[in-house]
Amino acid sequence: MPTDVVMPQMGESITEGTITKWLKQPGERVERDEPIFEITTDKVDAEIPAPAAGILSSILVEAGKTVSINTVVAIIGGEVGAVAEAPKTVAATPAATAVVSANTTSPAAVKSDGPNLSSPLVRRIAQENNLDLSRVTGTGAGGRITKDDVMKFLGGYGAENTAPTTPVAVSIPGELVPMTKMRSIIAQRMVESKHTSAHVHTIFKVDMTRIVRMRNRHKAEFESRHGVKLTYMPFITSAAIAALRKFPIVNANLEGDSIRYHAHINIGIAVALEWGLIVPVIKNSETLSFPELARSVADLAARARSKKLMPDEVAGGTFTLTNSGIFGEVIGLPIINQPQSAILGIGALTKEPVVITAADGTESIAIRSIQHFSLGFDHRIIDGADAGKFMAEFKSALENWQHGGA
Amino acid sequence: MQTLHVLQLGRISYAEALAVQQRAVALRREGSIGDLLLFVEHNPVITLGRNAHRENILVNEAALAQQGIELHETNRGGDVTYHGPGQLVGYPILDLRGEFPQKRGPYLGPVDYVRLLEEVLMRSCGEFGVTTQRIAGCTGVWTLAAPEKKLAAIGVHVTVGITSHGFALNVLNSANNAHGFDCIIPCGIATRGITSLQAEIESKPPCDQQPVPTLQQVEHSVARHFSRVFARDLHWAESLDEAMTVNTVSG
Repeated sequence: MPTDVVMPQMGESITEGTITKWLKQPGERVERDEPIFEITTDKVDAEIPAPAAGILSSILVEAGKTVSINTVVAIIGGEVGAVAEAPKTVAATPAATAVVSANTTSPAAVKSDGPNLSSPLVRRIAQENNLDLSRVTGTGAGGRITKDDVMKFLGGYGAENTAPTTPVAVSIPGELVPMTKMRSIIAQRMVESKHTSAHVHTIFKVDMTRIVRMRNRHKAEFESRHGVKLTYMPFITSAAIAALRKFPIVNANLEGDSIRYHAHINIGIAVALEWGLIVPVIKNSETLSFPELARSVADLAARARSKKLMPDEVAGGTFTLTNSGIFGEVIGLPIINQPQSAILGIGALTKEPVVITAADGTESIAIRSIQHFSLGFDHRIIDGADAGKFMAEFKSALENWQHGGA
Repeated sequence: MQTLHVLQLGRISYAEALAVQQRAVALRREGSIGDLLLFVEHNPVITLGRNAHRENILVNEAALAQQGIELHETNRGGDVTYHGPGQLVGYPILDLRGEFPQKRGPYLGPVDYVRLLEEVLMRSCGEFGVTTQRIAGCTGVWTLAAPEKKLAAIGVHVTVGITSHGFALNVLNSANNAHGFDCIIPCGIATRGITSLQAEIESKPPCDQQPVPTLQQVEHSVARHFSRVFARDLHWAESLDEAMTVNTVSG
């Protein structure tokens, strides 16, 4: 199984490293822990060991290049040259197609009779475009009409099976701004996640009326007693923790051919920043009381915004919450934060008319506080039924909120 | 707590010290010895790090030889530096994947390790009444007053998690009076000078002066602060072989 070799972290505040030298070349066998490349920073010269034994199949980042930490710089044990040559293979395909179509034009043309020598392909293009070939001047050998002649005559339009026209780079007025480090990491992780997990989303509508009333009743007292504002986040987080406890598969991740069930529930909470997005993590959240949870949520969000998070506070999450409802969005379909297996999207809290069925069966319409929640889950390990049960549990925890909270 | 074997090798040539380091790294890597701190005092030598620029050596090799100064290329990080008598050179041979209070992942980041070496040296300098600082972007230990002068230089090599090379703290004036530093632009930094603990102590008003320490006293101080900063039990070893037997007994 191929093993990725990544740019290691040289220090807490160091986000990138420069490869100074490759000590091994593609195709060479490396032993686990054998130095394979060198990094040099200011006063440190480090030889980085191979994470696994095998053939160094490809080097993705050449010596002299600077890349951010955790970037895959080489692959051990893959097909030799597989990755490095992949782009070449892709590039070769259109070229090959072009060659084939050119070839079909010429030999076929020899066989054809008639006043205008042409190939079956040319004749078909002409037929499909309602074109009389006698109007076309052939530029090929012996006045043969080539595909190019027809295409030129037709102005390049309307024919299938033609070589794709090269897109012309049109310059559109604007500004080219390089991505920030954070932006490029987000870009890379999001695409990686979409390529890794089999994303499925399920949406649940939750009646938050009970929570809204409870919060309104207790918020002043809660703040004075615990020194932190009572928001909806700790309620939602707490309900998610309860559901995760009941359905550990949602708090698991795929590791090779196995599923790792995490002993603890580490909840990541996505925090939007003016310059991007960061996901601080509440570790061992299942051990926290409600006020502790409320404090952690507020503290991590505040420190994320003031750039005061420690590196280990944004790592090790097992499940993520993302609140996309703050701008009034009904619900979003979030991308899973790898290597986790599920993410809970939080929609806006709004008032809606809802049909209420009383105990005696009479129905009425009432104004209720409604919030939508979506679960993005990795279908590789979580089936729709698990996700449904998880969300039903989550919904029930919120709608029948029991533990005081304040 | 893990053990730190401290080995005082005394005054030896750079080549000899390099050989001891290489053996220690190999032993540390195979796990037959614990973390080590080698102390040496070198005969005059100019060494070139991985990032060294030859133009930072201001005289030719013949002139250096005439003054009895050797020239060595090494695989440590950093530019050009000078080692000589009166300077305390420390070569910590640590496995960065071991236990460290500051570790935030599978290993202690090499750059974080360098910051901790500065911490050790700054605490030692403080003990002798010389207050020092770090300067962002200029690894080493610097005096406070502008223009800042360098008291200690750092350059390390890490191979598969094992550190080698280390730091050089100028203790006595002889360390920088021996023309060695005049032959180079130390660490490629032309704008700031070099100083020693002795020079810093003697530049103070007599009433504030602490006695100038001996190399041995500074060795003890550095070892002590090293053991605190890196959370290690000190073991003063007689030789690598003796350190190995200690490791086997405790391990």
